[in-house]
Amino acid sequence: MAKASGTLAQAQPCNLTLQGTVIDMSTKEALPIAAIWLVGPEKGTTTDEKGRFNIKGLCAGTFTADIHYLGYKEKHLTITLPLQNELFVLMEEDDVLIDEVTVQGEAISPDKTQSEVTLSETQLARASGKSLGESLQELPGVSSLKTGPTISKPIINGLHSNRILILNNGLRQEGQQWGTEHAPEIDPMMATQISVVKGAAAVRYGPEAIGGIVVVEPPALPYEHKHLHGNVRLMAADNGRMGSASTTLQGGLGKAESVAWRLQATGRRAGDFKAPDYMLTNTGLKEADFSGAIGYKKNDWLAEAYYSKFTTELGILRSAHIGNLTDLQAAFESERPLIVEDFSYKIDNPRQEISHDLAKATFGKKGRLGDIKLVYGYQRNIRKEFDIRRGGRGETPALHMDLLTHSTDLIWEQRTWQKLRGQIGGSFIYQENRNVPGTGIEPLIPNYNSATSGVFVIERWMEDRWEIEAGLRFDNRAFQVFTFDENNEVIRPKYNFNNFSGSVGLVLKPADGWKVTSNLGTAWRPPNVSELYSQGLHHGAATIEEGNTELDTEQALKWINQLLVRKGIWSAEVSIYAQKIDNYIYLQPQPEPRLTIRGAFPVYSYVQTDAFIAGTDVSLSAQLSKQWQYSLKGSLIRAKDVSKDDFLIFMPGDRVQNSVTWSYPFQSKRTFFVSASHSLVRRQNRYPSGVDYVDPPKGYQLFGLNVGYGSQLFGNDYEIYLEGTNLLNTSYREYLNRFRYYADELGRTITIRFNYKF
Amino acid sequence: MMKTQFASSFLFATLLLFGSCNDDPDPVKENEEELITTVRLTFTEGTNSFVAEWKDADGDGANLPTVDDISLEAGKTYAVSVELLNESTTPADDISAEVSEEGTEHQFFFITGDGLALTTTYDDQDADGYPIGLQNTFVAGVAGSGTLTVILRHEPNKTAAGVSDGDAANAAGETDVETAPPFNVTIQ
Repeated sequence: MAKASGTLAQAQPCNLTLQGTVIDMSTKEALPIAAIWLVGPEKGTTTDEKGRFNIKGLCAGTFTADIHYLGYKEKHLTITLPLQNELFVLMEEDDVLIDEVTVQGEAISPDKTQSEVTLSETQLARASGKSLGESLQELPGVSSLKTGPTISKPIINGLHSNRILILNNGLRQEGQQWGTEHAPEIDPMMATQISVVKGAAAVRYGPEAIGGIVVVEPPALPYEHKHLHGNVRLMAADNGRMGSASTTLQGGLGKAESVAWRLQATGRRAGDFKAPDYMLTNTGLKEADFSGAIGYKKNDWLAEAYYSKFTTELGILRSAHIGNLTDLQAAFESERPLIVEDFSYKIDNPRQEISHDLAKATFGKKGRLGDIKLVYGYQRNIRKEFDIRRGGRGETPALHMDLLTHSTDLIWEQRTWQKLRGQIGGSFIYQENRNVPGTGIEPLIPNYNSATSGVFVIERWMEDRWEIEAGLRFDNRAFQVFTFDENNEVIRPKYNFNNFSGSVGLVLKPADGWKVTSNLGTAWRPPNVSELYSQGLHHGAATIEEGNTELDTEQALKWINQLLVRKGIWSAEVSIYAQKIDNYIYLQPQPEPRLTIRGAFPVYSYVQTDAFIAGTDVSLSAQLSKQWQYSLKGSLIRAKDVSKDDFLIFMPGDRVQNSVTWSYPFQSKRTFFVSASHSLVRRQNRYPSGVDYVDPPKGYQLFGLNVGYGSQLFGNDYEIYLEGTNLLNTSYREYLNRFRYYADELGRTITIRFNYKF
Repeated sequence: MMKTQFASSFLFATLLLFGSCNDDPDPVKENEEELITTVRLTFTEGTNSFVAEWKDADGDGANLPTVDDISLEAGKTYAVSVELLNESTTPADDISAEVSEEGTEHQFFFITGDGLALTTTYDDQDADGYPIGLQNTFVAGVAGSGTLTVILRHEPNKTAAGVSDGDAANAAGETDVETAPPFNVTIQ
């Protein structure tokens, strides 16, 4: 520790103030609850939510300030008072294993040798009212698979649904994620940050993590905070006459070892959205979400309980519901959707009603050999889909599935030994899928029971300028399907899959401001029950989809490299990846159409091929001056069906976004900025011909503007944002929207947001 | 050790929850009341009458439908009634009754092909005075042969141009029935 230096001006009155802000050197994010200690005056404080601190009653003189923040390098500054300006403390992240900085009880963060992109709290606040899928589109390399304006699923480096994993508060989100029109049942407002890991992360998280993982993480419980804290986020948009409100309340007993709690709720409501030239009839939504957490910490022990409920009702574009191929042809040929009505908040059939309950209990113990954590998770996903039906059956769901999941995880995080540290763990997941009888329609996928167990070890050797990590995992998945054969006899076939996965990763820091990561990992995915047993007509696509009970396990190998540079005004992140997927499962059109009483339908069957995907994601920003900032994001992806020497279908087109931000340099706590953006999406010219009904739509470009002002109200921060998207009201269609056959994307949308934090 | 205590109480809690699971995973056969297996056309001319059926017993399954041929006499006028049946249940369900009840939401279309000289006119009306197509008049023209496709649209736009005259082009809605392959019709 540095010693106190002179206290020269004893004569002066000791009424000086030292104030400033502590921020992350690379992300420029404020760091709340950073500790500041003045050696000499022997005074200290912690920063507030905005990273600000204020120490009063200081005498003039020179002394040392020690600044600590968990997970960052300690900083010692020499300060001479009185000071002309406020102090800006830039903290550099400590690059040792991230787990060293996770407070016990939090979900374990993913590997750092993999390419990772994050939506910060500020970015999430500016996106309030959006669904998870829409929010994630902000990140380079992440796009969105949509079904109309309200259903949106994340795509990571070209892969989605069963090929990516979503961690909801540390648990694998278990819904009916095989369906392309089944959006993740998660309220993004419950999180303070959302990260996307773009490598094959099977070693840590088990099967399905082929393309990457989305980590939605609520903040750690505020054990240290004595007072009631929270936030309110309000949002209203003209398009869809949409409104959203979200609030969080949290508190603790103010002692390091104590009780802390949090309550959070979100409501969203929208009516029919609008494309530039017409209403998108029956695209409204109603959503209500709630979550609560409570924790208790004593000595080395910790116990936390969490519960969340997500409920939503989503209208499906009326014109997308079609009877057969003739209707589909008519829909393609029509410029406008065939059914356009006046605006309404009413949600008619076809529609979806989904509820997702998640409960979690965590026990933790810190010990001499490291930390032990036991997590139990319960999830129940109920999905009802209502169709347009004859004879007053509209209120009977056409699809009604109840999916129950129990999961347990046991993890031991080793204490660092020499330069080695690691994790050893195991997990067990039990799942039951049931079709609730009474729909009057044969279910799309059958009932099943499934058990997945896995054990893993990840070890890391850490030197100053480099780190190396290796991991190994073994998994078993066994499941039994309960369905009917052709003779309507019940059959109960059993499946059993075993697999080893491995990964090696490297972090290199050749010089200050430079970081290179490289990760080579394998991942696997047993065929999903929907791929094995799907049977039936897919409304909206006018196809009959047929499962294939002979499918084998998908095997993937992904190599991803990331370069991070922070030099002067520049900051850049570039990731380059290549991925090989053997036994890639996809729907292949069959030569003979199926003749039914509703007409002829094309038949698609699940088959396997070998696929190869490579691409790059770039994000770049430059602080041109105190007022001006420029940033660029882009991604490029190339995907091939190696066996057939053809392209893979439904891959995102090349895209790039440029934006310029001007901020007014206030001296006070106020902020003001104007940000303009331009995004360009090229037409996807790489697609297998003759598979889809319609060729990919044209490329498009969009302009957007966001204006923000922040200040204080009752001593707390608030922000107001006014955002305009698709400012020129351009009519366009996106290749990755499954309703591009029927209607244009959204027209101009003006959104106003108000956030208050206390 | 505390750890084992923790683990055992934890396992106990898990077992409690497991115990509450649904014990019977076997599926329940759904009663597919909306399934249409058969389109039955009854032709009546004077005292003569005959039936032509388009039948697909396995619904969306892979088996091919069976289609009767229709033989008409040139210059004659036929009263044609349409019945829709679900013959997968015994006794067969009469789906045309549902169509009749929800007349405003349904309309049949009779599409001739390959130059078949057959004129069709609607003989029935829904509550709003628009045709349904359960009762019709067919007039056979000059001798020849061609095809007849029967279409049933759900929630069509009956006020759109040509729709009440039997032109499906502007009708929109969803197709509940489309007899593909069509009936083969011979006019002698």
